[in-house]
Amino acid sequence: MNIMLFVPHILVKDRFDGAVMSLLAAIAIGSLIAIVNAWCFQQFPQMGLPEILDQHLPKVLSLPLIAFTALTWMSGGIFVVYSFTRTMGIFFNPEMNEYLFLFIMVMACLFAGSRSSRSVQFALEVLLLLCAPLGLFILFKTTTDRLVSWDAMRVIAGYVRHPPSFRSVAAATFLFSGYLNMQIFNRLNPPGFRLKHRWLIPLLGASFAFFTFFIPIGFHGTIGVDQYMYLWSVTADSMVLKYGFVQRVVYLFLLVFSILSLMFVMNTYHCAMEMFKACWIQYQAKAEESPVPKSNWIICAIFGALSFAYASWSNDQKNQWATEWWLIGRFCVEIFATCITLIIVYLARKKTKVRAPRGGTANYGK
Amino acid sequence: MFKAFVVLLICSLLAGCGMKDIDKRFYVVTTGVDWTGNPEKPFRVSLRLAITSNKVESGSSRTQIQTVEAPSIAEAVRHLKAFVDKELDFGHCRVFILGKDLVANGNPDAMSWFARRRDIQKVAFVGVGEPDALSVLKVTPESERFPGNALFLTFGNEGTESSYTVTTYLFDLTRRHFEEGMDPVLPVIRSLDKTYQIDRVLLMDKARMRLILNPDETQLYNMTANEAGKSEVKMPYRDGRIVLTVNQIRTHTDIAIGEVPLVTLKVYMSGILEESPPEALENDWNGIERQLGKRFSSEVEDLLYKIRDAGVDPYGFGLHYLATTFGNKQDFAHWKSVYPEVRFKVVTHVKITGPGVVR
Repeated sequence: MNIMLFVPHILVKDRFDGAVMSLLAAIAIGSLIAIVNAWCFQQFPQMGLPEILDQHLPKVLSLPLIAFTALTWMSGGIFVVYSFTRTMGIFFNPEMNEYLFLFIMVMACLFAGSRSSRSVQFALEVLLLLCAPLGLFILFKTTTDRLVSWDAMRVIAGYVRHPPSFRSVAAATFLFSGYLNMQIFNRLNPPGFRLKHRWLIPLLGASFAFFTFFIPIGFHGTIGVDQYMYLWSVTADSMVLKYGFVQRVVYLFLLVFSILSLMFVMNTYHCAMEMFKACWIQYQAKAEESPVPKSNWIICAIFGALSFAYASWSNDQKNQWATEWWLIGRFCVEIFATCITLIIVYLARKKTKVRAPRGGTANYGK
Repeated sequence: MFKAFVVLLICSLLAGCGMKDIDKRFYVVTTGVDWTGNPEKPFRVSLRLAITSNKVESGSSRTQIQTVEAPSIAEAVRHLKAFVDKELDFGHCRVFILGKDLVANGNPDAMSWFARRRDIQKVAFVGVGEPDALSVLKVTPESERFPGNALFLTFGNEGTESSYTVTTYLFDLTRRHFEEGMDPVLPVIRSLDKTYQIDRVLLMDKARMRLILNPDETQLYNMTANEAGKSEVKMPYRDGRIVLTVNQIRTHTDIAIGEVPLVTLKVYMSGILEESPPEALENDWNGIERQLGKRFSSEVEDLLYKIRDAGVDPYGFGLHYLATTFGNKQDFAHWKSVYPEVRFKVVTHVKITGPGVVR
C-alpha cells in the first residue's frame, strides 16, 4: 500500500541521514498510535468518528474537525489515483491517453466507493485475500534472489546511528495508518468487539517497513537506488521467473499493485464521503443502505472531478512534492486526532463510569 | 442498462487508441551500440529485428538488421523508425551488446537511455561485442528456433550452463556502475562464423574497460564470484591429468581489518573426478583433494592480485568491507587508498565424492 505513495522513495532519499533510525522510531510511534486508537474506538461500539465527535464536542468544534479529516482522506485518494495512473501509463501502455486511463480508474473507484460501508468492507477483505498469495510470492522471490546484495543492505543498516529526520518518520508511520479505517468502519463493530491479535500490528508493520526499504537497496545498490522514480516497479522488474508463462515479475507486481491501489482509493473515497455526509445536519449514519442514495454518487463524483483537476496540474515532480507534504501533514493530523480521541474517551468515562462490556467473538474487520 | 452502455463505450475507446496489433509491430531481439569515433555522431545503433513467421523449427528464424549513426541512442532509435515499416517494440529485447570500442572510450552516462526506457527489461542481458557489436548481431546461428534466442539461451543458465559464461543483467550493471566498492563486469561475446564464443569477461572501473580475462581466468572468476557450478578444477598428476567436475561450490569472504586489510576467501567445493590416471584416487584420496585445493587457491590468488593491480573490484570486496565494518564515507576513502596493497588469502576445501562409475 505504502509503495505507491513514494514512502520508500522518501526513505531511500534519506538513507545516509537517518532513514534507518526513522524506521525504528516510526515502528514505535506508529504501533503506539495504532494500538491506542484501536483501544479508544473500542469504547464506542457501533459509532464512527463523526458520531463520537458529535456526541462529546460542541458542533462548532466537531464540524471543522470532521471536515478536515475528510479532506485528508480525500487528498490521499486523489494522490494515489494519480500515482497509479502514471505508473500504469508508463508500464502498461504509454501510448494511451493518460486522462482516459484516469477516467477508467476514477469510474471504478466511484462505483466502488459509493457503496455502503458494509459492502466496502467486504470488498476490502475479498481483495486483500486475492492479493495475499501473489504478494507473498513476490516477497519470497525478492528474498531468495541470488543477485540481492546483502552487503549493500548492511552498509545502509550501518547508518543507524544518524538521528531520524522528521520527514522520514512521517513517511514511515504511514505503514501503521491502517487503523484509520476504524474512523468509519467502527460503526460496523458490534458492542463488545475486541480487536484480536493486536501484537501483530508492530510485528507486521516492522517487517513490511524493513522489506519495502531494504529490498530495493539490495537490488540497486547503495548509490544507484535513488535514481529511480518508480522504485518498486523497477525492483520487481529486476527479477526473472525462469519457469512460467510470464518471465518478468513486474507483471505480477503490477497486478497486485493495481488491486491494492483500487482498494485504497475505494476506501479513501468511501471514508471521505461518509465524513462529508456527516457534516450535514439531518444525517443518520447507516452501515447498510440499498439502493445507494444519490448523495453518495454526487460526492464521489466530486472527488473524481478533483482527481482530474489534480492530474491536469500535476507532473511527476509536483506529485512527489505534494505527496511528501501530505504524508507529513497526515502524521501531524494523526497525532492530533489521537490526542482528541483520548480526551474524549476520558470525558466519556468520567460521565458514565461504566465500561463497555468486554468479550465477544466477533473479530472481523481487523 | 445505461451503465452497461457507458462501459461498452469506454471499451471501444480503448481499442482505438494506443493499442497496435502484433502484425504492425517489429520486435527488437538484440540491440547493439558501437562507438564510431566521430565526435558529431559517436553512436552507431544497430537493431536486430525479428521477422515473425509461423514456422518453428531450427534454422527457420529470420531477422533483419538496421543500423544508423547518431549523437545519442534515443535519437538513433527515433531515426531508425523511419527505416522500417512497423512500430519498434523493445519489450522482447533481451540482449544488449556494447561494442568494445564503446566500452573503451564511451561516456557511460550516455547509456542511461537503457535504464530510463520503461519497456526495456531490467533483466535483459548485457555483453560486450568483439570486435564490435554489429558483427555479433550479424551472426545467424543455424540452431536458432526463434529469432535471437541463441543468445537468450546462452545467458542466465537457461540453455547451456557454461562456467565460462558470465551473466550480467542490466540492473546489475547499473547498480555496479554507481555502487561504491563494486565495479561492473561484462561478458565478451565474440562472433564466430555461425556461432558465438562467450568465454571471456571484461572488467571495468566506473567509466571504462580495464582488463579482459582469458578463458581460464574467466572460469576461476565465475566460480569464485558467482559460485558457478558445473565447472572444473584440473591439475597435472604424475604422467596424466586430473580433472574434477565441480558440482557444488560455496564461497565465503572474510576481511580482517588492519592497517592493510587481509581478504580471506574460503572456497568449499565438491564434485567427482572425470579424468584421472587409473586407481590414482584410491591410493591417495586425501592427498589429491589437498593438492587440488592448493593449486586452485594459488591460481585464484594470482587472479585476485591481477584484478587488484588493474584497479578494479568486481567481487565487491570494498562493499563487503564497508558492510562488515558498518563503515561510512571516510572508511570507504580509506579502503580505496589501501586497496592497491590489499593482501589476499584463498583457502580451498575440496571434497571428492567419488571417481565416477569407474575406479
